[in-house]
Amino acid sequence: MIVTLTHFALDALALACLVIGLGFTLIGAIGVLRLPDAYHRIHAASKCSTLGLIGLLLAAMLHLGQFDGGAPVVVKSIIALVFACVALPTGSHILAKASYKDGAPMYPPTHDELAKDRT
Amino acid sequence: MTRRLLQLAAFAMLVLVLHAAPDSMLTWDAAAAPDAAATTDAYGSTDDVMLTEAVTRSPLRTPIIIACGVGFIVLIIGLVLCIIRTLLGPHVADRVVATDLITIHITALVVMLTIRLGKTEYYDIILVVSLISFAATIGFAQYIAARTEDEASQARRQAEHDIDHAHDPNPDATPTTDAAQPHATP
Repeated sequence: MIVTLTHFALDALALACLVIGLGFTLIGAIGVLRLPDAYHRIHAASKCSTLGLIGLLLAAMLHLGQFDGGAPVVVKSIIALVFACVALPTGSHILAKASYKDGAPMYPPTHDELAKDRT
Repeated sequence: MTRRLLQLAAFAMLVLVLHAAPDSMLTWDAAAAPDAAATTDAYGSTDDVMLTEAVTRSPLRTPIIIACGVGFIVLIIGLVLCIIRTLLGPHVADRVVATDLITIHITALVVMLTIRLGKTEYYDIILVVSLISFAATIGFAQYIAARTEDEASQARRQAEHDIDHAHDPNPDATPTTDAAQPHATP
């Protein structure tokens, strides 16, 4: 295989996506452990995990998709990417709604604007 | 204190084991593998072997391998943090969120493994794990909401019972009208 500029650029892009995805995933995990209440944890988990997963899938797609036989990786990456973009925020939203309905304890400085609607 | 020490010991053991793993377990030696003619299936497909050989000649392969080695350790640290939150979480939602994040870490580990080995055989796992994770999150959210509705309807029925029988000389009598509807319609 001749090393061309295209392969080098795709690999550099894949490396950048890999580092960004790993950073977001680690920040999400630290946030889930350290943040004070369930709503903060849902916030950290949904956003950071979505971005981290997108970065890692893009890295796999860019790095392995440039070779012969890498087409399954590209197709499955696109499917997983679309599914992650749809499913992870939806699941987090439903979970946050359910935990608010359940009355999960809130971090005391939180200003609950919906409190007057609750009986 | 003992609990903290146990957690730290488990964490250190995991990091050590997985730090030692990449040399022995995660190296895909193309020379040691069976040759391409032996691994062809009934359709004569040799795609994975070709992919492995092509990936080893990629221009920025070495930095990506190093990033994968760091990434395994990062993902294992995140996995341990999520497991600690799953064990500690005071509310059910905390545990569900931590379990969701554990599945996402498993997905990320499989993606890193695919990049590291240059083999596409494990890549189906991410679709299955994503689907199961989404279904489990929705199911647990429904469970939390349904549990709340049950408790709220029970509390409301109890309150109505208390109001109805405030001056009743026999307060332990079972309410006849409320018992006819054990489940409140949502």
